[in-house]
Amino acid sequence: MLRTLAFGLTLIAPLPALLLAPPASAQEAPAATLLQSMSEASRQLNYKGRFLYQFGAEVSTMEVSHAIFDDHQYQRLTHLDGRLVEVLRRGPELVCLHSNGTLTRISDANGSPLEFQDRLASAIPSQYNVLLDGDGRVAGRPTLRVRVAPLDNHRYGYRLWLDDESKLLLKSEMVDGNGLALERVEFVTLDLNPGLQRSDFDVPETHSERALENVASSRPGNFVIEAQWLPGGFEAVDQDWRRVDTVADPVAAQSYSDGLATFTVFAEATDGASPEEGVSRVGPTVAISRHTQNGPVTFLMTLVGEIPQPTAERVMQSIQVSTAQ
Amino acid sequence: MKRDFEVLSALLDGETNEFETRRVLRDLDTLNESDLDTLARWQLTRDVMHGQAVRPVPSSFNARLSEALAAESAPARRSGLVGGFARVAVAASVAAATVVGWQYWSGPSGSSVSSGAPQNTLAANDQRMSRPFGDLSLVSQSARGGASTAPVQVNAAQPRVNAMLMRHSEFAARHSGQGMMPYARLVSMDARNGAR
Repeated sequence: MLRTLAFGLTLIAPLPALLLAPPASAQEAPAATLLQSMSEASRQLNYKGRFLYQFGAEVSTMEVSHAIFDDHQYQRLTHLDGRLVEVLRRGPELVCLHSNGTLTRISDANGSPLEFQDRLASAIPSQYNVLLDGDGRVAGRPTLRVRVAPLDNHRYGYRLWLDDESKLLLKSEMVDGNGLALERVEFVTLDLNPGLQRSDFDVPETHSERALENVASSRPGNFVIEAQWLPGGFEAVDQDWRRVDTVADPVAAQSYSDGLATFTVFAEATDGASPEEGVSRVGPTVAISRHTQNGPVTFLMTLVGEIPQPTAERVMQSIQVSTAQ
Repeated sequence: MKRDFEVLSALLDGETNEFETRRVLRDLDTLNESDLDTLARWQLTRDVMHGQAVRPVPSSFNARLSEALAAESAPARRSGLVGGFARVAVAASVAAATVVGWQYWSGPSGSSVSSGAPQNTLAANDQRMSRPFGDLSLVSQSARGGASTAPVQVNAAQPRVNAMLMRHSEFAARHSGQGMMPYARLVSMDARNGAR
């Protein structure tokens, strides 16, 4: 048996060396570079376009405008059908106009994503296999197809269509382990010279506004969220400690990312009677809430992220929340 | 064993005929622990694949069921055949409920909390429910329809949920390298909430 195996290996070994290795190494580099270009293009170019957003049998139409003013990103994302919902990025500020007409602001003094060197730009996570997958056509434009396959079942895969010219992401599918698309975004129009003004990113007027205030993290009583187990490649990336205006109790957040997938764990103190525990999935997004007890304090922890549910459950089991002294 | 697994898999997918269903449910009784684990995993996988809100069956469920069955059938046992058959019949009916009806028990609505016996016996140490996150509706629920699965309205919790989705989108936008994708997700969810 072993001999057969050894014989088989000697036969097979030269094959990848001769045939697969050169194209693989030649292919891997451009594929990885392409992803970095995609990430940079989405942050640095001016563009305006309309796209379809689909998950399950539901389809929405949206419009996106993106521009750079004074080294700051401005972006407007508008839901075109049904309820009006908008997300606006104005430099360090993120504004969301909700479907009920209210508005929420988050301001991050740490800066906009433009200043953030995201991990993807520096290295492709080793938990993924990135392959060039031919070409295609989206929104009437020639595209390059990239396949991003996860090497374990703790994350989803992607099929990406990047604009030949700009490297912008024109079509994206997030796929589960069975190759089923959980979510699809597809541009139908794209303008790379939209001539956008600052006024195109004005915040809509609303009757009700609230801010997600940053509470000083040095404040005593801050919650510390720690995961005892994380899927390979995931690292703690960002954390904050915010509350809705001054009335609500602050909620701590800790996000984890592998460079492509991200999930965030929230922790808040609760009286324990809250019925908020549960599991929910919307497209690729899973949300899990459960209570945990630490001394006299009951915490409600909520995980929100684009990872498979079993993985999310396992992470959730390992989360420990404590109160900083 | 492999063939049995195939049939089990078919059962979970609702692809067995009546005869096979009965046979599989009868044989469930003879499965060992690791097989039952496999079955539970499959059921979970199947639910996830179908985009349904799920939670795993508590691992102690089968043990407790067996204990209950043993306690029940021991004094009543008259002959091996009759006792065995009754045992199988009970096991089969409960197993069928496990396969088909777990989500109903663990339910998306608040009613499951007060729904007496199953909740108490099955989930004493695991009070989590499978139900919408705040005001969000699930793909699977809109597909399943019916009054019993109507999502709960938790309007009071909406700002809290919105805030979490926003913060998560912000983090994801920084670290996913996929530009506006996380915001598109946020917009879609918010619009869906408002539509209901």
